[in-house]
Amino acid sequence: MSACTAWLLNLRGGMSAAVGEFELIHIIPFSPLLFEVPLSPRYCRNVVLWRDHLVPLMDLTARVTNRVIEQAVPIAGMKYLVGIVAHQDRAGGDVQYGALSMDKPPVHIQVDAGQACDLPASLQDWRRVTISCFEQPGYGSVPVLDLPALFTRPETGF
Amino acid sequence: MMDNERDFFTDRPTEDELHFAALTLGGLALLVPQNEVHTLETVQDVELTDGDPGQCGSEVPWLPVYCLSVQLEALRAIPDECRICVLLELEGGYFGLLCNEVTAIQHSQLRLHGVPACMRFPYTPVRALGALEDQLLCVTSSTDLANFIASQRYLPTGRLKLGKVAA
Repeated sequence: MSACTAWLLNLRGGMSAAVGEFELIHIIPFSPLLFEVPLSPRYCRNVVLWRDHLVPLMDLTARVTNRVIEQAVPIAGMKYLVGIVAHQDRAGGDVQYGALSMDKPPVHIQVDAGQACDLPASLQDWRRVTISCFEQPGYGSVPVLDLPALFTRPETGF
Repeated sequence: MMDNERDFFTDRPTEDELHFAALTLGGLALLVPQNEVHTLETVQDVELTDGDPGQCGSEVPWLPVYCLSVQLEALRAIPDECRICVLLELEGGYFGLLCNEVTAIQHSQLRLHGVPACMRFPYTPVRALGALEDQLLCVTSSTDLANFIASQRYLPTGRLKLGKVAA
């Protein structure tokens, strides 16, 4: 396999994950207004209005580890960054959007087939939201996110 | 979607859906069709009791009242800012919902969005979300709210207690 490019996301709580180069489409560089939706899961309490779309903001670390880093606040301030990701349920389907909270800006990386690895035992909680995994120097095993699985159905934690 | 359920996003709004009442509960705003609001009462006579709905009004024999949090959980004490009891009408009776403020909203003022799939609680009474300037409002109805309240564990019979308004 030839090398491909991806974004390495520095998620909250010191965890990392990756998405394809064209899946991360925007970083919100200012303090977005967050709106709380009642009865939503605790890892995804808020939505962001972005370019006329209502986008669910997910704390991926909280979803996977069931550990909430910090309670959601009405105004994000600059406590964390918000990355907008795009995905399709099927080829030709409508583009859907999601938002992920991050501690630091993402890093643009190149990944080749030699870096592929199995999801290690320590990351088994990620298997439902992961399509593959690779080894990245300085980061260890990095799961590649299955965005439709992440944003098209709720899990637990209501 | 059930056969008899309307699609908020593709169907034209019915006459009933053109005018909403926005009920503010703390930081949450619920939109119900305006024709489902029967009257507004003051909360001075309301008492909430543990395990049962509260009661309101000296002029009516029995009017159940519910006070909900931002997460739609039943509250046992009335927050200071709750000053209004909205009497909502549905088939079979009425129930009261305590809120801070009631305002009128037109359908044309709103931009409606679906609740994102990853956030959708199976039994949520919120059918859609409406963006209005820097506010997000939850579109619901008195029937959806009644069904949701009735499903809460403090009503073990699974039926909402309703009251009758005196003639």
